[in-house]
Amino acid sequence: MDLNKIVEVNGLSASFDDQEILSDISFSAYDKQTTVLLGGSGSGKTTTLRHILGLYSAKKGAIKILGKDINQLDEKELNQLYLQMGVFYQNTGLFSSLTVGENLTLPLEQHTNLPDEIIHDIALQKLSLVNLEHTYHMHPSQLSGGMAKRAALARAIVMDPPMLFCDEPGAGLDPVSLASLDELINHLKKQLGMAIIMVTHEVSSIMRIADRIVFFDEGKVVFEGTLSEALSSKKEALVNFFDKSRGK
Amino acid sequence: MKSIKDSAKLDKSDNFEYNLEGNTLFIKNSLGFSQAGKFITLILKDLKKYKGSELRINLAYITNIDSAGVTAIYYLKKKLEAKGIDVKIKDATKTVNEKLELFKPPDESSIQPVKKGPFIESIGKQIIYILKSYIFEFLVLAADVFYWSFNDLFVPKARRRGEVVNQAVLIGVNATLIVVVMTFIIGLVLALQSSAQLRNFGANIFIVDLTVIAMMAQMGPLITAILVAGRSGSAIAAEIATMKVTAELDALKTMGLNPIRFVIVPKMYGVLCTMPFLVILANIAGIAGGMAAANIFLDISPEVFFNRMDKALQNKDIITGIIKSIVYGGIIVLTGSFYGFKVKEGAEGVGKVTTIAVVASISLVIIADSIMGLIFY
Repeated sequence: MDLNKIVEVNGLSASFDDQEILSDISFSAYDKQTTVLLGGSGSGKTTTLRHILGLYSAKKGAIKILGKDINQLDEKELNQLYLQMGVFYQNTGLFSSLTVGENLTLPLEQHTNLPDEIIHDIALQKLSLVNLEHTYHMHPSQLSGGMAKRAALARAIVMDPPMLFCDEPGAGLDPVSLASLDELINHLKKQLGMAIIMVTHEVSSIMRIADRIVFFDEGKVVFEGTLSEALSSKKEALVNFFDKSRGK
Repeated sequence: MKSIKDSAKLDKSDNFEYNLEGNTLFIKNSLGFSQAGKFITLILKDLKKYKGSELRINLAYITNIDSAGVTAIYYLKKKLEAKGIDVKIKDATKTVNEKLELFKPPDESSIQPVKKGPFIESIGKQIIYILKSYIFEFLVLAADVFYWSFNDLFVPKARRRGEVVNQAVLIGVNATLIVVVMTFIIGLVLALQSSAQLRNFGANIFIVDLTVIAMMAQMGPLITAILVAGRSGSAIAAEIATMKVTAELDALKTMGLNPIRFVIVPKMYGVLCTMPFLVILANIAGIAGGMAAANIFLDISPEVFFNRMDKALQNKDIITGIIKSIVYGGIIVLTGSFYGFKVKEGAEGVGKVTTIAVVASISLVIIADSIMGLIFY
């Protein structure tokens, strides 16, 4: 199957306070696939994601999204690119002062010229995709942890983005809720035909949703390949990670 | 081919077309987020003239559609059906059909409605809510704080070592400069404004009585309390609210530490220790301001001012000011803590309770001032 590259990271390096966090990392993520950025705490995976999202600017190296180098884009072009990117934050990022429905309608109101009734219907429909239509008038503080995660997912896909970026979506969830969130993400990926780039260290999640793995160790990419290649890899850092995750 | 609007061709960027042939509406090309708004505006305007009882929406020529396009089509269907037109969506390709099914807006009844009771009932509920959530809970917190403040006077282990001194510095000592400067200016302005009137009556010397009594019994404690409420009351509310949002208060509880003893009591000690001194400094600064104004505008020398002050000043005024400072200090800490504990949401909630805490503590200080004014009159 010939797949298009949607994200290309080339030679990215980053440091904070003279401490090198990322060292010359390169990898790609492909259309309609789930690429998992995997690694232990402090391995640089979230920093990489924040660079891809344009939240940190790359001092060295290039990041291309849909063929565009994000460091070469002006603010307007970057904002246009953001419309094609759904982002699902670890702590949901839902606006606590707005209702769940308003959280979803906000980007639609700001970025489209759709009538209010259609905006309402789109928001409601996206909530129904995550089985949360009944929470339309509720505030995020009234939702459980798992529900808030699903509401954040609904907001991330409200503009039908072709790419979904997830930062530790399973953090703080019990195994059952995590499994159902993974199932939901898989389901949405199939239905909406999205590419997913996910940062996680939950091995159970990886087994359920990953097509490709990019493994980080001490700020370097030490492995890039399919899930089955990752599972059969002899790379020491990767083997150790899977062994320790399985309690061996 | 009958077209409503010459095939309603739009500029290239809109990339969709529609036309009506008999009772069939053909929608062609792409219908997504960037086109759906314009599409629905135009089509509803054009279909106002439609007289038929039935309309078929033909989607065979749709090449690309997303959730906005699908929602727009269902919205159009709903609008036409409301006018009594029977609408059928026809000939969609497999992909478009899948999208139509996937993005079909759910029934409105699935939304949990906002519950609203009868008007009188809602007023009653609000009153009960205010009594329970504000007055009762405030009194419970006040009782708790006073109990632990007395109880822990001789139990230093109940708080971190050095915490009372730290709070006294933060709340009291660091406020000294602003309090002294502000009360000096207020004393000066008060004397200045009064001097013009007193001069008319040849009662220049009474500027001393006015300044001293006003500053000692009323202005000194009140201005100090307002400044401390704005400066430290907000900080107390924000600190406790942040601790609650970040689960630090829960952590204290689960470590077996009472948040009231550990967090609020040191603040209470700090404020009670420093407020009287702050008020004394404020009184001195205010009187100094009055003395400066009296000297400049009424030619009353400092010696004359001090002599008259000796007669005008009563012990009662000094004691009243100190009692007031202690009461105001207690109100500021209690109100800040109360609203800090009441925070519900995240970042926005912290800002909200901080603002309310300042407004509430200043209001309560003024109410307490009125009550004590009547008592000590």
